Amino acid sequence: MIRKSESKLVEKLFIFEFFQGAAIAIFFTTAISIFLERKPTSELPVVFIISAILLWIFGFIYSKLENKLPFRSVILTVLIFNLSVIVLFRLLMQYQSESWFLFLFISFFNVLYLLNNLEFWGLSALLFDVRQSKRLFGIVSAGDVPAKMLGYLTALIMIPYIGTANLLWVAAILMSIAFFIFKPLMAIANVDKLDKPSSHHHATFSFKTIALAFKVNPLIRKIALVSFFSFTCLITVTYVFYGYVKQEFENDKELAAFFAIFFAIVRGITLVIKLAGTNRLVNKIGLQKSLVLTPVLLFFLCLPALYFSGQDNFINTFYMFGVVAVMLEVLRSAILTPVLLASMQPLPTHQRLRGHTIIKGFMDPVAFFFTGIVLLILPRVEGKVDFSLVSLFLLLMIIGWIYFSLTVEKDYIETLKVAVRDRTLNARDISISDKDSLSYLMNRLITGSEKEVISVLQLVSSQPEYNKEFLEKALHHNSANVQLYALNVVKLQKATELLPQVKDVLKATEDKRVLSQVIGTVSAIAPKEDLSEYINHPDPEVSQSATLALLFQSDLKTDKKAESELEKLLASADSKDRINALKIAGELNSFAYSSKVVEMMQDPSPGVKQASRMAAAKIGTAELINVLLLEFASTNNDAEVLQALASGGPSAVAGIKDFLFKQKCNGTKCRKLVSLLGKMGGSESVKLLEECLRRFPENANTILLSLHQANIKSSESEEQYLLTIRENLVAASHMLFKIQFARQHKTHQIISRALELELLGIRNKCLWLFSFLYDSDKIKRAQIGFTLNTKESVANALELISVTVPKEFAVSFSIIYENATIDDKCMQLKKSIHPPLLSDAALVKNILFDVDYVFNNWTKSCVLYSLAENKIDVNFEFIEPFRSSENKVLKNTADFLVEKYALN
Amino acid sequence: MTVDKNRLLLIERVLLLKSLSIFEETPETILAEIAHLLEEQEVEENTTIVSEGEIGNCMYIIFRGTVKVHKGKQLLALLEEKDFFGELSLLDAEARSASVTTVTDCIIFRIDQEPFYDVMESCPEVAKGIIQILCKRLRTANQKIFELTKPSW
Repeated sequence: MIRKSESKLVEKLFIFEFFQGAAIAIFFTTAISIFLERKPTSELPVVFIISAILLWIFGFIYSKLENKLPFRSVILTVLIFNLSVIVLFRLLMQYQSESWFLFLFISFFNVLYLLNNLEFWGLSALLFDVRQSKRLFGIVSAGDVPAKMLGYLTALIMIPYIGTANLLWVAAILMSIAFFIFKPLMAIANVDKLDKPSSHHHATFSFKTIALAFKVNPLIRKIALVSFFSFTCLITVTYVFYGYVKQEFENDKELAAFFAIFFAIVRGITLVIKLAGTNRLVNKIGLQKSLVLTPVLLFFLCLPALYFSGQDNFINTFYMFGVVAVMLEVLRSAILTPVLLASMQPLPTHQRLRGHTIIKGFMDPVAFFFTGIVLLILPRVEGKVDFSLVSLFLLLMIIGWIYFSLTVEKDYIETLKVAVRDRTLNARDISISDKDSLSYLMNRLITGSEKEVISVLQLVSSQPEYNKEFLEKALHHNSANVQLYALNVVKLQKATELLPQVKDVLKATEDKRVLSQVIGTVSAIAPKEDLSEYINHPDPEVSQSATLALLFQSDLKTDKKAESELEKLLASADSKDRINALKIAGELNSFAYSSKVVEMMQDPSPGVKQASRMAAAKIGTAELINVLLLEFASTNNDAEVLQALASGGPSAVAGIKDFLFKQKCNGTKCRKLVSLLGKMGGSESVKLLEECLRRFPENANTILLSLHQANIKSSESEEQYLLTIRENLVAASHMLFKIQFARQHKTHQIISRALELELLGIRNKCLWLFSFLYDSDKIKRAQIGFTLNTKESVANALELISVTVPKEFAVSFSIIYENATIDDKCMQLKKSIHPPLLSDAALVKNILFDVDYVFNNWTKSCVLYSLAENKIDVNFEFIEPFRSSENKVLKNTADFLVEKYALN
Repeated sequence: MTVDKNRLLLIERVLLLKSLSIFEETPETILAEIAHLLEEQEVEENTTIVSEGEIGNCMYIIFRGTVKVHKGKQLLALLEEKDFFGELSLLDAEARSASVTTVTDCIIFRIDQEPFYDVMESCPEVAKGIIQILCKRLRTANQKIFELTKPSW
């Protein structure tokens, strides 16, 4: 649960919160007892309203301080202020019968509580990332619970001896103890360092900022609303319950004793739940259910309580509301608050702090104010509030709470995605299925710049249901580039219904590029359209398009005109004509031109040579592909041949397969071909890559990268992928133990570093495999998070993995790759797997002979080098195979090792 | 360290490359692809390795010894073991902005542009590493310019 590397920090935070919490609990017991002794509960709504105003004022001051001062000074200021308030109220006790004093006294409890919360959660949010927060928030905040238990129990024991008022001195002493923990805590937490980069981003507490955060960030908005409804429910239940308590107990001592026992029980239950369950619960049932659990339970518990209150059954109602109050207090602090705060962890630091400030500093006072006003204006009978109306109000609030809890998870996942992608998401996130977005896009298409119009077309062309109107407008756009783009989309989508508009463009355009494109588009969507008038067009590009269109439209034998035009171009002295002719031959995809294409590969003009390569790849017969691969193998024209093969598409795959298998997928040329397959994509390429993955696992990294680039989901291979993931995760777990072992031996440092690289390689493999099987968009975002490699980005990436891939993989993946020490990770892994038995010899053999996992040649080289450096006796037979390795570094190191032993 | 003290093993060349700031982010598995490009040269004291104004198309890494970077007689810097110079020439052949002369007997490694281009083509990770370094330098330079141009009041 708590990692060894985190234990000191967690311990100090726990103690720091403990003493502050105890002091505030005693302050509350004193204040509520004295207030209820002297005032009726019907005056509590006034307390709520005063509390709201005070909370706004002090929340505002806090956020100003947070902006101006380093966080260390903010914490210190809060500590000094809270201590001063406690002492001041004790000194002002002579005015305790005055109304203003009583109202201020009890209201100031909320101020102390708010400031303590802001300071503590702000600090925790800075110190822990999203994954740590899920594990640790429940624990560090649990310091508050035993603290309050201690506070209430101290009050219970001390009241008979020192009286209620003097309890404040005890509170002051406990608050003073927190000062002694402050310095060591700051030293461990390194707050100054954490604070610097984002100090100018800290939350500001203007209405404008809050409104902006609410408007722009749906996660903060939803969480704030959940917090509002839950707090309103808590205040209402407490209000009703205090009414019954006031009737049952008369003097301040009795009241203080009751509250001490009541809250000690509440805090005891809270502690048990927090320590035993908050994080496990969230992991097990998920965020949404964790949030909904409390209001749903509350709803069902409220029903009998309301029934008894309607029956005028004092005792039953008192106990039922007691149970509801206990449960609400417990679940709110044990589950709801930690879950809500953990939900904001994927937000950037400044937004997260702003979120905390809004929830605690803004929504709580709003809830106080709102509830106070509602309870004040509810009709009263003989000075008492009508409880049936209060009950109705309570039920409405519970329903609001349930509704917003249900909607938080969606925004949480969205925020995670954005958090790992970038922090500068365009505010206008367009969903093009709704009318508003469509009309906005149409407006941009008509009035926007050329770039804007093309990006609108890109967006809508992926949504065929809505794009016809857009294409029609784009075809008549005054920009040639827009027209070209639209014509291409029409051609690709074979949008025959747009033929009249396309023909209009054909007649009207004076731009040669557009004319050339429109001829191609017309021939694609209307194969019988007569385009022969353009074959003798003075512009070669237009003429080429027309020739190509005619050749496509008709049978070669019958259309002699186009054929002779092509022959003429192929034989032309002008290299541009020959290039155009080869383009046409390639487009035609006709075997008839094969020999001519091969012949033209020897053309003196590099442009013609490349055009003939491209034509060869497009025609794509086995013979032509072999000619290309022969050139690839025997010359340095790799880039040109690869470009040609890429343009040819699937027809090249069979030839590439032979090449790869002959070379056992080894060497730079093979790597280039593997990479080409990924770029080409398509089912044939994917099948070949998957076959390579099975046959040449040592090249898994390159092959998987290509499969990833191919961006194709292959359900046929799902089982194989699942198996590979399992094997890789097991290998990664063992790798961690090997690293732990290697690190313990100074002589193995080079091996340890190589194994760390292997571990990263496995991570990338798993991510690629995850992207084939699950939501590839989310996995890609997680990959970016890992690449950024900051504490937060990695935590967010792991969080994204945990919501995207099955637990079977997510759990071990997270343990292996999260920000923790190797020792912590190994300790965690030992719970689920048997660690491998390791010795120097076992480690060496394991790596050199690929036991359980195919290691990189680099890792093997490091092992051999380590053997040589440390003069470890080895059997020559072990080394001999590596002397014939095709990997230069491995061969060189093996030769060196043998040579060194021969010399010795 | 090696049998022939004058020659570094390929694995040691990888480790040498890894120790340079320009390649510290590049994984060793990728550096292994570059290691064989390193051409070892022994250079005597007071030998000019690079002359100001000549077109450079290679990068140098100092393995042993000290060199000075100078413009005429004006000394600009002294470079020692694991320092490197001419790295931009790996990407862009341009006239050298200063001369480099050995101060002591040196062993240096040279990487030429042409084979390096080939490696970058087959291993995009190498290019990625170089681009990252250049970006970092650009950001640092921008920051310096910003600080220098910032009003001081």
